[in-house]
Amino acid sequence: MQVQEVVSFLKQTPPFDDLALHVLEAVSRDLSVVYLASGEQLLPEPQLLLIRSGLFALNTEQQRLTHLQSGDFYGYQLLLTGLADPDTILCEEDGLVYFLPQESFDKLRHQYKNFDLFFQRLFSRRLHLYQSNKQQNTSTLKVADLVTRRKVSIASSNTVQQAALLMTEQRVSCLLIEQDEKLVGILTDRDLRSRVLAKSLPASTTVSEVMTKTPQSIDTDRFAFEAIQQMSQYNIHHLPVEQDGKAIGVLTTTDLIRSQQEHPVYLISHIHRQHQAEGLNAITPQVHQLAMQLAEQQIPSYEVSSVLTSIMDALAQSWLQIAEQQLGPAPCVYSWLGFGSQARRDMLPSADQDNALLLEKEPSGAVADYFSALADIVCNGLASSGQALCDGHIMASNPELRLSLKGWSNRFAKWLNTPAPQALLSSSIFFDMRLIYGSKALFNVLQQDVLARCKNNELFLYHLAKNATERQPPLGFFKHFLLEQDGRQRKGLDLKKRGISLITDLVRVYALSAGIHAVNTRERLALLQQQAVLTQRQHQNLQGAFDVLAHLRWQLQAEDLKRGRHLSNLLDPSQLNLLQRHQLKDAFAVIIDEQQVLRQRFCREL
Amino acid sequence: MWNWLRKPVAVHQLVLDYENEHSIDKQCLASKASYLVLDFETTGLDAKKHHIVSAGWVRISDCRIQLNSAVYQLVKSPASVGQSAVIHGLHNSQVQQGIELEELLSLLLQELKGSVLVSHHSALELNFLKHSCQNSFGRAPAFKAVDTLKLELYKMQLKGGPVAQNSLSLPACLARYQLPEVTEHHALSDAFGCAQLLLAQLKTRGASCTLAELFQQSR
Repeated sequence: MQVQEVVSFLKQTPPFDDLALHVLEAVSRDLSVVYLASGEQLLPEPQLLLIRSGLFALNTEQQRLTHLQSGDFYGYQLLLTGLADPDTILCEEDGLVYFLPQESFDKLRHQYKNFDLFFQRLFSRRLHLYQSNKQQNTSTLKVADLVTRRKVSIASSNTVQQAALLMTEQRVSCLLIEQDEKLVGILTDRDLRSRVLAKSLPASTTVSEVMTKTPQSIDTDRFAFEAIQQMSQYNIHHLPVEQDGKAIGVLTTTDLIRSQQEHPVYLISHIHRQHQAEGLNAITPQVHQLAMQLAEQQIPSYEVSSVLTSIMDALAQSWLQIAEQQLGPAPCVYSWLGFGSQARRDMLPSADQDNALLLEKEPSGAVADYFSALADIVCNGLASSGQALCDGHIMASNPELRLSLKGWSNRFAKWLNTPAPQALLSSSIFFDMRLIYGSKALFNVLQQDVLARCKNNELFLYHLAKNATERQPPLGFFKHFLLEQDGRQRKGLDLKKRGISLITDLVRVYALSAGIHAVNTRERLALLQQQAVLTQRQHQNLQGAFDVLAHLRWQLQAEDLKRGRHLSNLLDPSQLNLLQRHQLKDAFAVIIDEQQVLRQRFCREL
Repeated sequence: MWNWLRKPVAVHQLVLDYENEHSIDKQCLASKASYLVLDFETTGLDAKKHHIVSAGWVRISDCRIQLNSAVYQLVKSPASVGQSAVIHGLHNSQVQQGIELEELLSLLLQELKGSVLVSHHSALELNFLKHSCQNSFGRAPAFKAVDTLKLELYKMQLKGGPVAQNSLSLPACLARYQLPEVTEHHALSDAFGCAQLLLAQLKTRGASCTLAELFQQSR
């Protein structure tokens, strides 16, 4: 018999939380429980140690002290490699430790790939690359969510005419053929056409002669994407759905298309159809609604950000068109530029405006007036659509950011050649830029110019790298989180300033040093590995860390949206589950390591 | 005093076996002993009137709770669980699926051989064991138990000061040692909680503590 308390604890401890209940019950019976008093030393033995309560100090060979607490593991090193570490574990606060024998541990690793992966990742200190089954599973719609239609069925002994009649009456394009409550076939509109009419068979032909026998089917528990795969693999448009071995309905291609109605594509085309300011003003709730939905569907955060960015791009484009309608055609070719997170396709609901204008002609006289008016309409318009004005005035409505090619080129040259750290800090956002609307050719010239100036500019890269490594992740010496306060006196971890931005900054240095056009962090990382600037391991580590942080920040802001709170980047670590805590620590550790690598590469004495 | 007049009842072999084979070295170090931590849920507190409805136990050896030894048994009760269902949450229909009382007792007599019986407020478990054995087997062995409640009381009295009401309940004791909560009034959960409590109590008594001292403090 299992002890309920032990099973519940396992149930909430990754990676055990991915295992089925009956497996956990069996695992719990293999455990033994030990109580340690503070000051006692925990002696290693070939068992997996799981801390249930208390606090333990782990001293490893490298002299780095780590605290182990509830949900932490030890001993997997020995079990995985057979090599004992000369570590010591000292109990600091009385607590309980669960011991799992090697035999059970090996069995679980053998049977459950994800369980094995968890400990491999933990061992290689790359837990941020681990994804729990649960995270994967909740990512998509299930078949059960899509079957709306009632079942329409007929016996195989009926005639095709009776079948056709039923289909017409019930307005369905296919019938399930059942015998003794078992699905034996399927008959579609198309079958009646190609197998009956085209072959001149009489109306008295029985259904069993022309139906598709033992058709494909899918269980209600499966994912919608599996249904799509199955349907395209067998080239069918109707897929019977079963529950407990009995047919309950049919999934059609139409059902699948309808399930995509909530898709962001529809919102974007809706935005593009708006030619009046009123239509765009009302868009904010829809954007937020969509953001929440996407976050709840557990879609990877980079995709959610990318979708949100596409929507923000569409908004800017629509406002520009409205402005052009109001002001008449532009006096010269221009490009509307996005900076920072919009350029990186990395936006969140809390993102404010970072934009500017690149003009073919020098902004003076009538040209200056036109674009000043245009920028005002667009920036204020975006603000009314929910994208806040930029506190730092990095907006096209600022005359200093409405420049000709020459003007911009000089501006960048100034930043690049006299990179006073402070000036650089405030300008680094400009080095992530993307064309949102207008002339691509004009934009390309500027981008080429900037990239050419950056590449091999050692002094500039030195300062950029220095800036990028100035702030550090909030991970203390004991691998504990360092909390800080925001303006609202809340305590937490700033996922943006001390997490995501640090990775963005770091990757930007490499990208500029290598003359890479891409601005999206993931794309930059992929290209950097392709060009052998980063190793595959660095690429994976940084991307994994980035994804973990971005995901947590999305969850945070989705929750804020749901509760109508101020959107925040400040995470309260006590809200994290054990896996998230492990992953966050590993993500921070990656940043610390990579900052050091960056410093060695770019900040050696010149 | 008229007992000698009664017709002698054949004493069950199980009890005789237990009496012959069960032995504990009281000078054994408490940390080395083998324990069986037991909890009963009953229809009431009076062993003469009430019945056992469930039993849970788990072993401790080498100062480790061995979860593969955990047992939970529902026990058929000759009377309705009545109002006690409010406490242990077991209903007549569940209890009636349990094993016979005799089967439980024979299991326990086997399990207890060579092990120290442990309970929280052991008077209840001891009384029910005694009465049940008497009724079923004609005689009850002289059971002895280590009582985690009494061990706790002993420590508190050593420290001096008043003992607050309810401060000796299992949840209160667990909380004092910062041990995880257990589902109260589930026989196995309570036994597991009691086992964790004993481990913590052993730590506070030092390595030289013997079983004799534990029994002494359990009085």
